[in-house]
Amino acid sequence: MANKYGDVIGVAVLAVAVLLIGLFQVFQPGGATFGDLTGGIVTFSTMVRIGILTIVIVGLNMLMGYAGQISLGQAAFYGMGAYASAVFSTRPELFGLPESLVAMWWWPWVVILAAMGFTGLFAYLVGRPILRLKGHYLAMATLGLGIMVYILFRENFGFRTTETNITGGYDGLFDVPRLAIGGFSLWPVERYYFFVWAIALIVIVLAMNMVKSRPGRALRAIHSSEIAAETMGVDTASFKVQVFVISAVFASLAGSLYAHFQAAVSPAPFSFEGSLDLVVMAAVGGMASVWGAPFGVATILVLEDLLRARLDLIFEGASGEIEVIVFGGLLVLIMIFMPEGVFVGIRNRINAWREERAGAAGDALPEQGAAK
Amino acid sequence: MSVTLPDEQTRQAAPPRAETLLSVENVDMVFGGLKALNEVTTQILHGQIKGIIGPNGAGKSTLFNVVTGIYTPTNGDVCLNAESLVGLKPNEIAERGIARTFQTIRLFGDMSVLENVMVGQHVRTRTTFLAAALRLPAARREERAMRERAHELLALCGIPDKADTLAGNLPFGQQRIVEIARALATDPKLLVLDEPASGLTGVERDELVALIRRLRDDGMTIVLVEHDMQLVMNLVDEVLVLDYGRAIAEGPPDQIKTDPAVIAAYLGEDAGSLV
Repeated sequence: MANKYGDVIGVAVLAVAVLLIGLFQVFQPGGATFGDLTGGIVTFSTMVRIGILTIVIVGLNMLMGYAGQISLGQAAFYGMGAYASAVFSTRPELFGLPESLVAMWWWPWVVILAAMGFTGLFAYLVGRPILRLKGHYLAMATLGLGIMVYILFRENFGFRTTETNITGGYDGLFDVPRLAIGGFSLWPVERYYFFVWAIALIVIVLAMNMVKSRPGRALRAIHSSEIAAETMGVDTASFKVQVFVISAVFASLAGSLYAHFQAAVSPAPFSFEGSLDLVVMAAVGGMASVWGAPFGVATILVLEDLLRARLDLIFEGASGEIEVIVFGGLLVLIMIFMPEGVFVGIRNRINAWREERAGAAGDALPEQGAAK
Repeated sequence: MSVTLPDEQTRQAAPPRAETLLSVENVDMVFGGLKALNEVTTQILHGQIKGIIGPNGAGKSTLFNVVTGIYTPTNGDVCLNAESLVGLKPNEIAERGIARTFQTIRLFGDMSVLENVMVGQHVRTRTTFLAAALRLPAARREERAMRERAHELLALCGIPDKADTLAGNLPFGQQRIVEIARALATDPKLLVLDEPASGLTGVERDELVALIRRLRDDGMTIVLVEHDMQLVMNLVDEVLVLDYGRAIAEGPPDQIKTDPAVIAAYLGEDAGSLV
C-alpha cells in the first residue's frame, strides 16, 4: 500500500520542481535560461504547455482511468474553452455584448468561467445519451462528437467568413489578450508559467481529493463491474455523466489558458489528432493515477521537442514524417513494456522492489509485516 | 416510511401478513418465447432465512434478478414492505433495502477489501464530487465514519485483517465473504445470496454457514439460492422449489423433503439423495 502521506509528498515535490524551474528561468544564474539548461532542446514555453495540458489530462484520467469511460473527443472541450476565450475576449460585440468589455481586465476571467460553465452544460447534454453506450460504441460516439465540434470551428459554424467571422476558419483568431489581475499583467511568460502551474496544482489536488473519496470509489466500481456497482446502489448513469462533465470543465479551463498563452487559436490542436494526443498522454502517464497526468504530458512534450531537435543527427535530413514514425515506435515500445503507463509502471516496479527488500529483511524484523 | 397500498383485488387474493418483508406476486418473466418465471408467488417474512432450490434453468437466478431490479418482470408485482419495486433501477432497489451477492463473484478486483465494502456504503452516504474535492468538514467526517463502519463489517464477517488486501488477490472463499460484507454495508433489510457456497472448500463452507447464522441471529432476513442440499436443509426456515419457472412447492425443509411433487420433478425417483 502507498504511504498515507504519499500524495501530500507528491504535491510538495511537484510544487518544488515547478518552483525551481521557474526561479531558474527568472534569475538565470550564470546567464543561462531554462532552455540553455537543456541545450536549447526543451524550451521554457514547453514547461507552460505541460502545465496547461496537465489540467486536461487530469480530467481525462478521471474519466478514462478511474471510471473506464473512453473519450476520443476530449479536444473538443479543450477547443471550446480556447475558442470561447479567443472570441469573447476580443470581439464581444459579435454576440451583442458591449465592445468596451475588451478593455476591462476582469472580462477574460468572466469568459473563462462562463466557458467552463457552458462546456460543462454541453457535456452534460451530450453525455446523457452517449454515456449509455459502452466500449467501442462510446469511443465512436465521442470520436464523432470531437470531429463535429472541430469542423464547426474550422468552418466558422457554417457562416460565410466574409459576413460573420466568428472562429476565423482555418486561420483562426489572433490578438487574444494576456490575462491580468487589476493592473498586474500575468505576462511575460515567467509569470504565466507560475500562474498556470498554480492552477494545475490546484486541479491535481482537487482531483486527488475526489478520487480518494466516495464519488471516486463509485467511479472505480463502475470501471470494475457496472452491474455490481449498480446493485450496490451506485447510480451509474449519473456518476458517468458527472465525471464526463468534470473532465470537460477541466479541458475547457485548460483551453482558455492555452488561448491566452498562445495569444491566438487555430482549429488544428482540436482535431481528432489532438484528441488522440490527449489519450496517448493519459495512457503514457498511467490511467488510474492523478500523478500520471503531469508525467505523461511531460514525457510526450519533451520527447517531441527532443525528436524535433536531434532527429537529424540520426537520420540525415530527417523531417516531420520521420519524427512521427520514431515517436510512434517509442509509444509502441512503451505500450509493450509498460502498458500500465510509464509513471505507474515505474512506481509499481519500485514498490515491488521495496517489498522484495522488505521481505528479505522481514526474517530479521518480523513485526514489519504487521505494520504494513 | 411511504407505503403504497396494494390494490383491492391483490389484497383479497393474498392478504399481506403483518410480518411479510418481501412479497412476490404472480410474477412472469418472459424472454422471447421462453417463460423463465411463470406466475411465481412467494412471501419472505421478517427475520426468515428462505432457500430457493430447483434444477438448473428452473428460474432461481432469474427470480433474483427480478427482485434486485436487473430484470423488470413481464407481469406481476414485487413489493418490499408493501411498496412496489417494479420498474425501479437496481440502485434504487438497493436504496430501498435489498442487497445481493452474485453467483459469479463480482467484486471490484483492483480495489482493496475495505474499499469494496465502502462502495457498499455508497447508497447510505452523501458526499458529492464538490464536497470531496474541497474536503469539506462534512465530507471528511463521513469518510471517517465510513471507514470505521467498513472495519466493523469486516470484523463481523471474520476477515478484519484483510482490509488492505486487493479484493482480487483473496482466495475464492474469502471473496465470497467480502461480497457478503459489501452487501451488508448497504444496510439492507433483505440479503439476497446467489449460490454463496458454490466453489467453497469444507472449511470455508462452515465459516459461511456460521456467518449466515450469525446474521440471522442479528435479525437479518436472508434469501438464498443454493445447490448444496445439505446446507440448504440445515440452514433455512423455509424452502421454495422452482421447476421450469413455476413454484411447485413451498414449506419447511422437512416437509419439502417428503413432498411428492418435489421428489418427482426435482429429484427424479431417488428420494434418498435429498438428505
